[in-house]
Amino acid sequence: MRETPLSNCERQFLVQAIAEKKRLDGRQTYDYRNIKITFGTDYGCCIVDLGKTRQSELVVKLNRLVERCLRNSKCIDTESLCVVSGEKVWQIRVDLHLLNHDGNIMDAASIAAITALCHFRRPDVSIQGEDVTVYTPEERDPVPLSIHHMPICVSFSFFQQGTYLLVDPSEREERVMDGLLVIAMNKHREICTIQSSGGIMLLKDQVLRCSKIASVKVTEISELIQKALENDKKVRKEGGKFGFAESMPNQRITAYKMEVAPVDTEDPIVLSDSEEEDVVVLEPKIMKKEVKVQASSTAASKKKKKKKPAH
Amino acid sequence: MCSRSLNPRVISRAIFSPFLSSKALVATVVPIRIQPVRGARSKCLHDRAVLNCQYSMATFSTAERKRRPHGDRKSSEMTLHLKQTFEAAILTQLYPRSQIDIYVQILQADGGNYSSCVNAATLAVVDAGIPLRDYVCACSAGFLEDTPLVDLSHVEESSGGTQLSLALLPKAEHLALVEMDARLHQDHLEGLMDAATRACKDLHAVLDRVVREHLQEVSTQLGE
Repeated sequence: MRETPLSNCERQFLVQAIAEKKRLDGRQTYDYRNIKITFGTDYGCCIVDLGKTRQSELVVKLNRLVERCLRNSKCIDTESLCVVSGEKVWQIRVDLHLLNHDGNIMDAASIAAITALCHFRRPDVSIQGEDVTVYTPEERDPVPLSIHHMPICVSFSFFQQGTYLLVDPSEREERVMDGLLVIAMNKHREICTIQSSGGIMLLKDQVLRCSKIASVKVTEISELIQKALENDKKVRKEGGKFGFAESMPNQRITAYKMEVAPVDTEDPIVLSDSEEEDVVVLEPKIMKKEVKVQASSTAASKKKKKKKPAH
Repeated sequence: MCSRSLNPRVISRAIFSPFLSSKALVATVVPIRIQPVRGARSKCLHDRAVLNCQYSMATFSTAERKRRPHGDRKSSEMTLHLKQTFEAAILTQLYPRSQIDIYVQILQADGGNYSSCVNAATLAVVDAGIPLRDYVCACSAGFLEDTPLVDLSHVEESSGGTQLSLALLPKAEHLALVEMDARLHQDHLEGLMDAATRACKDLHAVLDRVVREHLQEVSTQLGE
């Protein structure tokens, strides 16, 4: 389904709001939306909600960015994945599914990918000479991957030829932006990837300023991820319930249906009551009846009592 | 280092090879009006030109013969980057409802693929007479053993160090594209970007000189 085009007045409204330092959802320039991280029952499944972002060209860009961010920055120790050198090795694959696009999918995707990798446990292996035994999760506890650092992407959108800058653009803001700058950093203040897209001109100072803001944001998000991972670990150890099903809010109305019932519109509403019995009665009558009343009033025009049909 | 040739089929063609040995061949076609053909009209924009870029590597360009010259993900990414760079630099508002094609082919890949493409494409666009905001000069830079290095070769790129590609419009120091891979501490970023900017400005001097020399040659030939 083609997405609805953005009207000019909406576009102007958004740009003007940004010029006055206001955002549609009330955030400040450097504020992120609420990030919610949930884990599935299996190790390695993770859902990230960034506001409501939970989906061409866009897919290629996202793919390459996440690939460069994770692979080139060597966040996973690939040597530890080797089982028998020259023969057997573990292969890791990250599948990202976009459920809902409400802006800034790069950040959500990178957070989801790195969190899932941290959460994942691979089967334990033992080697005796030439024999390799792979233990199932029941026999031996699965082993986590060895991860050096957690690169996280932060997106900055530019408006009006670089005059205004926003962090974590929503979908509407993305439609009116001139360009996007994505900086991936880890909490040790190392930059893993920088990528500018869209046709804007940047200045060196802007890039440096963005990198400073990014380091602050990345520290916050890293703490959030750590907390979520620890919570999940605790819940699993204590035998509590975990998984995606638990993360859905209970007692939420998902649909509302009412039975078809006739509505009584016959009650008259009395407006005024004067001495001469000149009662103006407002009655919600249908067209047919209106005609009837008119006919009757012409016939009885001498009577003071008037019945005015409602309009 | 830079040479240009004229060919009746394409409007302009330029070969650019930076300090080491990457070579890129670029052909641009002058802005053509998009004919109202089925499907093509949906691509044309009413107020500016559409930019169509294609990047491919010759099969003999790399050390091992390349099986798939175009269509793989890295080529698509490179195409998008080129498009983005030139959309920022070309004055597309002067050609509504038209299409400008830029085809780039790498003849020899020895590092700095993106930079060679951009520099060669700049020369080709200048030669085609398409108005630009400024020369687009690109350079790659890296950080190995605490020293910023400029114009990395293939060996230096694949050693796993930091790699920054920068496309610069020299006069106003506007960055049309910034792309960086691999880890770099935040404090070193400024030094690296400065080194790349200086290299781009030197390249700008070279490109300018070549354009003027070529123009002089052509005008003397036409004069006689």
